[in-house]
Amino acid sequence: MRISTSWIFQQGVNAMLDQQTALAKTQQQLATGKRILAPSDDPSASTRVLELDQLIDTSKQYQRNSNYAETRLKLEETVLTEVGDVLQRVRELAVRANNGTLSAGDRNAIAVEVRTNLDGLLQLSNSKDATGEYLFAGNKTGTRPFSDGGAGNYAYDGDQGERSLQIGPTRQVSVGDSGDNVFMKVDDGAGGIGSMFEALYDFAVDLEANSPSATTLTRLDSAIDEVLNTRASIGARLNTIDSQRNMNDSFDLMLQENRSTLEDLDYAEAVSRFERQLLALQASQQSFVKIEGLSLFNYL
Amino acid sequence: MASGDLFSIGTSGLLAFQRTLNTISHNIANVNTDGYSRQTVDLATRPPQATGYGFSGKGVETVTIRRSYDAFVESSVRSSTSATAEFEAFHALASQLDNVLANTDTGMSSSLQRYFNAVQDVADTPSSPAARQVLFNEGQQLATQFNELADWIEGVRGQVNSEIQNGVNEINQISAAIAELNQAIVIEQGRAGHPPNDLLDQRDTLIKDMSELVSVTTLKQDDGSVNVLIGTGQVLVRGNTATSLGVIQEAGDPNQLGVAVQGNGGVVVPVTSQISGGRLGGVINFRDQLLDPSSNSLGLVAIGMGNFVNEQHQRGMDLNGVLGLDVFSVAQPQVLTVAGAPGNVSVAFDDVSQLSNSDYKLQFNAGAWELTNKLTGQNIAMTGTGTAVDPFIAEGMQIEIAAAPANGDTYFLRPTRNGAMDMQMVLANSRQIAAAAPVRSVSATANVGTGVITAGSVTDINNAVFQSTPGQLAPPVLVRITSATSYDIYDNTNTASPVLLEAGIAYDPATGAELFPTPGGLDHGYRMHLSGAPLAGDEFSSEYNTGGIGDNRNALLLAGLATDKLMYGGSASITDTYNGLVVDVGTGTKQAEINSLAQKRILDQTLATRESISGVNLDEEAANLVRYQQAYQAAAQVISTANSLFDTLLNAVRR
Repeated sequence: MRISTSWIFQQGVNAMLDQQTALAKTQQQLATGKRILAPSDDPSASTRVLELDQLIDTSKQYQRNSNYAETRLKLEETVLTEVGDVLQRVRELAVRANNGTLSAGDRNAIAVEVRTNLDGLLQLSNSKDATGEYLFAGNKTGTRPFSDGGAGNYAYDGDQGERSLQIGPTRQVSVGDSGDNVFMKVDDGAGGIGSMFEALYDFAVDLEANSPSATTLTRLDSAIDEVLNTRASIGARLNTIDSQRNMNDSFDLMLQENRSTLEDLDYAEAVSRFERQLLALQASQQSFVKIEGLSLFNYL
Repeated sequence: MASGDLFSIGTSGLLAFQRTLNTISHNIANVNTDGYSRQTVDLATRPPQATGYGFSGKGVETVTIRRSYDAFVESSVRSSTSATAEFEAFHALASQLDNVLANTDTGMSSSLQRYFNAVQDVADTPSSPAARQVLFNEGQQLATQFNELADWIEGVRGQVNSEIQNGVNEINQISAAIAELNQAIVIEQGRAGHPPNDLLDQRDTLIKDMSELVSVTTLKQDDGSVNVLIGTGQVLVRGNTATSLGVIQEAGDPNQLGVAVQGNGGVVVPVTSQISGGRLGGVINFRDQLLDPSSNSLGLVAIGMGNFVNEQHQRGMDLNGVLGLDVFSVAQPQVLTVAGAPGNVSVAFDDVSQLSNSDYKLQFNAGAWELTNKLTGQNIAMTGTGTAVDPFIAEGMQIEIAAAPANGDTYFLRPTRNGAMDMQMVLANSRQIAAAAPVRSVSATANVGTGVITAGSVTDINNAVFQSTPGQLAPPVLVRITSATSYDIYDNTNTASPVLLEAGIAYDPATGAELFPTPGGLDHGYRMHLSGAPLAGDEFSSEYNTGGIGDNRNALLLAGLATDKLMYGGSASITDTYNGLVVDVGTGTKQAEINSLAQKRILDQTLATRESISGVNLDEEAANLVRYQQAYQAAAQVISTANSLFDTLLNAVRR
C-alpha cells in the first residue's frame, strides 16, 4: 500500500501519544498505589469499594458505640460495687446491732454510722457519668433521680427507660439500668416492696429507738441481691460487647482485605508494566527520528 | 517526414512535462495541506496522422489534471470522523462526572456516611451538646455537599449548552462556506470543462469539518455542487444557498438548549432529537443519557434523604421536649409547560419510595392524558382521575390537573431534578435534634406479676393523641389487668380517676398483646407490647416522654435509615441509590471510552486508506521529479535534434 509522507509522520506521533497516555496512567497508579483511579476504570469494583468503605466506616462506628457502651457499663459497675460495699457494711452493722448485749448508746452510735451510709448510698444512686448524665435516672438523665422526701420517704423521679446502643448490625445492648429497678424494688419485709433507702432509714430509726427489727436483715439481703443481680447482668452485657467487638474487628479486617484486593495496585505488575511502556515509548521515539530523517531528496 | 513535425512533437513533450513538473511541485508544496488530494497529469498521445505508410504519431497531449480521490473512502472518513467525535465528546464530559462522583472529597458517599455516624454518636450520648452539635454541623455539611455537587453537575450542563451554541455557530459558518464553494465550483467547472481540483478538496475538507460537528449526508448534483443534509433529511446546503441552524430553549428552560432549523415562513422546527453523530450529537446524547439521569439520581438521593429523615425525625422528641421538626427542606417536582396553559398541571410527591431518576412527558391526546418516560418513550399507566381529591398517581408522583386541557397540551415533569440543588438544612439549632421518642411506658411499682411492657414506638405522629396538646399525650392511657387473660384500657388524663375506654380485652400470656390498635379499633398512633404473665391488679401506663433527654430510641431509628431499603420500591437504601449513580456514570464513561477508542481505530484505518490514495509521498514525488526532468531534457533534445537536422538541410542547400 502507498503511504503518504504526512501519514508516516502522523502515525509516528500517534504512537508516541498513545504510549505517553498509557505511561501517564501507570505512573498515576504507581503514585497513588491504587488500581482504580476513576469508577470507569472498573465500574463494578469501584462501587464495591464504595460499599466496602461504607461498611468499614459503619463497623468503626459500631466499635465506637461498643467502647462507649463499655465505658458506661463499667462506670455503672463501679458505682454498683460501691453500693454493694455500703450495703455489706450496713449488713455487718445490722448483725452487730442484733447482739443483745449492746446498750442504747452503742445502738445510737451504730445508727449514726447507718445514717452516714444512707447519705452515701443516696449520693451513689445520684451518680453522674462523664457527660453529666445521671446514671440511674432511666432516660430522664437530666433529672436528679432520687430525693429524700423526709420521714423515710424516698422518691424516684427518673423513668423506666433503658438506653440501648447499636454495637453490631443486628445487636443492641442496654447501657443502663433504671434506678427504679435497682434501688426501688427491695423486699420491704412485709410482703411488699420498698426502696433501699427506706430499709436503711428504718434500720437507723429502729436503732435510735433501741429496738432492732428482725426484718432488717431480710431487707438488706434483698438489697444486696438486687445489686448483685444487676452487676451480673452488667457483666453479661460486657461479655456481649466484648464478643461483638471481636466480631466487628474480624469483620473489619475481612472488609479491609476485600477492599485492598479490589482497589490496591499490584506493584510488581505495575512496575514491570511501567518498564515495558517506557521501553516502547523510547523505541517509537527512536524509530520516529530515524524514519523522519529518510528522504530521497537527500540524495538528489 | 517534415522537420516541422519534429518541432511540434518535441514541443508537445516539453509542454506536457512542464505541466507535469508543475503538478509535482504543487504536490510537494501541499504535502502538509489538510485535505489536499495528490494530483496527477493524465497524458495521452495526440491523434495520429494517417499516411500512405501508416499512422504517424503526433506527440503527446495533456488530457486533464486529476486528483487522486475515492468518493467511497471519503464518505467512510466522514462517517468515522462523526462517530469518533461523538464518542470523544461524550467521553470527555462523562469522565468529568466520573472523576467527581466517587471521589471521597467531592462525592456524597462519605458525607452520607459521616451524617449517619454522627446520628449514632447522638444515640450514644443523646443529651451531649457536643455530639448534637457535630450532627447539626454534619447535617449542614451534607446539604452543602449536595448543593455543591449539583452545582458542579449544572456546570457540566453549562458546558453542554456552550458546546451546542458553539457547534451550531460553527455549522452555520461551514454551511455558508460550502454554499459559496458550490457556487464557485459550478462556475469554474462550466468555464474550464475540467474539475477545479483544489476547490473540490477545500469543499471536501469543509464537509469533513462539519462531520466532526454533526453527522452529515451529501448528495452530489450534476452541475458539480453538493447538497448537505443532517439528521433525518434537514437540508443545510442546497446548491449555493445555506440554511441556518438556531439554538432554542427546551420548554422555556434556559438550562436546556436545543437545536432548531428555520423552516418555511420563519417557522422554527426543533430538530434536537434528530441530531446524531459528531460533537453535537455526542453532547446531546451525553445530556440525555447520562447527565439528566445523573442529575436526577443525585436529586433522588437528596429527596430520599430529606424525606425519610424528616419523616422519622418528626416521630421523635427534641431536647426542648417538643415533637421533632423537619430536618431538611425537600425540593418539589419541576413542571415545564411545552404547550398549554402554564400552571394547569401541578405535581407533588405521592410516595418517595416509588420515585425513579426519569423525566416524563405528560400529554393530552384524543381526550386522555398520557404519561411517557422521556428517555425510553415508554408509556406509563396512571391511576386516579387527575382531580384534587383523586389525582393521577404514577411513579411516586401525584398529578393534579386544574382546568380542562386542549388536545396537544404537553408538559415535561422532572420530579427529582432540583432535589440536590435545593436541599437545605432547616433545623435552627442542635437542641432541635429529636433523639428521643415522645412516648414512654410505665410499669406500676406495685405490680406483682411478671408482665413487662416495651418502651413504645411511634407509628403515626399525626395522630391527634400527639398533635392536639403540645408536650402531652391526649390522652395517656392506663392498662389495668383484670385477670390473667384480660385487661381494660383507661383514659389516664386524670390519674386520680381514669376513664374507661375499652373493657375486657383478651390477653394471652403466651403471645402477649399489642396495646394498639385495640380489638375495638382504638389507635393512638404508637405501639407498646405487653408480654409475660401480669396478674389482676397490675397496672401499666403510657405517658409523654417528659424529661426523657437521655432517650435515644428515635436516634437509633434515624441511624437505621442508613441501611433501610427505602428507595426504588424498597429494593435499595439511600446509599445504594447513590452507589447506583456512581456505577451508572462509571459504566457510561467506560462504554464511551471503549467506543471512542474503537471508533478512533476505525478512523485511523480509513484515514490511512484515504492517505494511501490521496496523500502525497515526497519520495514518490522526488522520483517523479527526476523522471519528468529527464523526459523534459529528452524532449528538449528532440528540439535540438530537429534544429540540427534543419541546419544540415540548410547547409546542404547553401553549398
